[in-house]
Amino acid sequence: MANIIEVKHLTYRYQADDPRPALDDVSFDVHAGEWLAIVGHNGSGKSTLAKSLDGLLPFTTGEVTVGGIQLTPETVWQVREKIGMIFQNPDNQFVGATVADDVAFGLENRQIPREEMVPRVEAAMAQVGMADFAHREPSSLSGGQKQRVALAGIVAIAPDVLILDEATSMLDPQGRRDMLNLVRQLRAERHLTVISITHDIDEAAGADRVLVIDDGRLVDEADPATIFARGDQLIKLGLDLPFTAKLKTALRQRGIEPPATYQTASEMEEWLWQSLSNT
Amino acid sequence: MSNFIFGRYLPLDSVVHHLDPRNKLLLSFCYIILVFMANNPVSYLLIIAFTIGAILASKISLGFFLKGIRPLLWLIVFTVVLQLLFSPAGGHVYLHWAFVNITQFGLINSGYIFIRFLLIIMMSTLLTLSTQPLDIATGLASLMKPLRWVKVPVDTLAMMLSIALRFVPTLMDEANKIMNAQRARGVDFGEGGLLKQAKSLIPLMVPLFMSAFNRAEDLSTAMEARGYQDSEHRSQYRILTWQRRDTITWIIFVVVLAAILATRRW
Repeated sequence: MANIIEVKHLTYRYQADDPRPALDDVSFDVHAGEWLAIVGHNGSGKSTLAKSLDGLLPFTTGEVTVGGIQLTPETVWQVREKIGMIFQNPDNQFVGATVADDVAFGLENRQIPREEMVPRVEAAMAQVGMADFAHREPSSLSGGQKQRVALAGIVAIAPDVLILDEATSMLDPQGRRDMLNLVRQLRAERHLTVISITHDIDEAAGADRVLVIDDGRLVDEADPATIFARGDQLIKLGLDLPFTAKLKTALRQRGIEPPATYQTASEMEEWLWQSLSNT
Repeated sequence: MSNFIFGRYLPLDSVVHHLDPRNKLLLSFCYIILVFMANNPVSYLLIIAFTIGAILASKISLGFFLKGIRPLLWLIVFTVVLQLLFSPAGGHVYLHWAFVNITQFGLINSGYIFIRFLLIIMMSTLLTLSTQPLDIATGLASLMKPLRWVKVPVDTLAMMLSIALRFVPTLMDEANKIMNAQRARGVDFGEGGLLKQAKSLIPLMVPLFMSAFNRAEDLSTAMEARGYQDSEHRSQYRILTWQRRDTITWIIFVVVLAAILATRRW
C-alpha cells in the first residue's frame, strides 16, 4: 500500500528552550486506507502529534508529507484540504448556529457555491443520521449527536484522511460505539484513512496498526494483537488493558493458563467454550 | 430571568414570523421614526391601528406584550409624571403651585409620550418575539453590507455575532454549573451586603473567564482545521429571500406613512 502520510524525525517544543520536547524524533508512515491507532497516556504527546500533522502547530524540526505534499507554511492550506479532524470537546468545535450551518462551515470556507452546497450538506447529514436535526441548535443536542455533526462536516468536504483526536473520550459508551461504527462504515464506503488518537483501548483494538507513544517518543509499532499481548509493558506505560487481557490475568491468578497471544472477545469466548467442553 | 420577555423568541406560524428578518429590522427602525412623526389624535389613531394590525397578524397573545412592558413600567411612569408636572405654560392652566405646572398642553403631551413608549416597546417586542436571534444576526449582517465601503469589516463582525449567539446557551449552562459547583463548596450567591455579594461573584467569574479562553482556543483550532482562513473569502450557506409578503408590508407601511404625513399638524 502507498503511504499517504510520511513523518520523518518530527520534533516539537512548546517553548524554544524546553529541555524535554513534546515530540522527540518521531518517524512513521501511514498507509493509504488503513486504520491507525495512536495510543499513549495523558501528556505523552498524542494530541501534539495530531495537530502537527495538520499544520496547526508549527514543528521545530522534521518533515511531514501528506499525500505527496510536504507540509510547509506555504502548503499548509493544501494539506488541510486532505485532512479532516475531529477534536475531543463536542461543544467547542461546533461553529455553526444550527446543525446545517455547522456542516456547511467547511464548504463555505472553500467558497463552494450555494447551489452545490445545499445537496452536499443534506447528503452528509443523512449519512450520519442527523437529517431530522438540520435546524436544531447545538444546545439541544447530546454530546454524541454533536460529534456526529462534526463527522458530517468532514463527510461534506470529503478529505482523504480523518484524524480523530480523542473524539470519543467525552461521550457515553453508547455514543462512543455509534460514533466508531459510523467511522467504520464511512471508511469502508469512502476509502478513508483513519488515524485515531485515543486512550480508549477498545478503540485501539479495532485498528489495523497501533503506535504506542510515551513521553514524546515512539516506543512501539505493531498490530493490536502483538501490542496487547505485552500486557505488563502496557501497564508500565500507563495504559489500560483490553477486557480479554484483564480476564486472562484474572484466570492466571486462579491457576488457569490461557493462550499468551491476544484474542478478541469472540475468540476468547470460543477458547473458553473449547477448554470447558474438553474437560 | 424566565419572565423577562424582551429578547425571547416565540415559535409560531404566522405571516409576521415568515417575513424576511432584514425587512422586519428595517420596518421596526422606520416605525420608530414614524411614531415620532405623529403629533395629533388622528395620526396617533392611525399608528395605533397599524400596530394592532401587526400584532394580530403575528398571532401572539397580547399578554406577552404586556409582560414586555412591565420591566420598563417605572421608566414610563417616571417620564410621564415628569412631563405632566413640569411642562411649560400653554393652553388652560389647571394647577399652579410653586414650580409645579399642570397645563392642558402638558396633559396632552404626557399622554402622547405614554402612547409612544407603549407603541415602541410593543413593536420591538413583536420583532424579537417573532424572529429567531439567529435570523436577527443574519439580517443585521446583511443590512450592514453597505458599510464595507467605509472599510468596516462586516464579514468578521457577522461571524463574531453568529459565534457569540451560538455560545450564549453554552456559556449560560456553564455559568449555572459553576454556580452549583461553588454552592456545593459553600459559596453563598446573592446574599449579604453589596460588597459581600460582589465578592462572592469572584469564584463564578474567574472560572468562567478561564473556560471561555479555553473554548476560544479550541474553537479557533477547530475552525482553522476546517479550512477557515478569513471571513471575506467565503460563500454563504444561509441566505435570506425577499418575498412578496415583504413587499406588501412595505406598501402598507408607506400608505400609513403618507396618511400620517397628511394628517400631521406641521
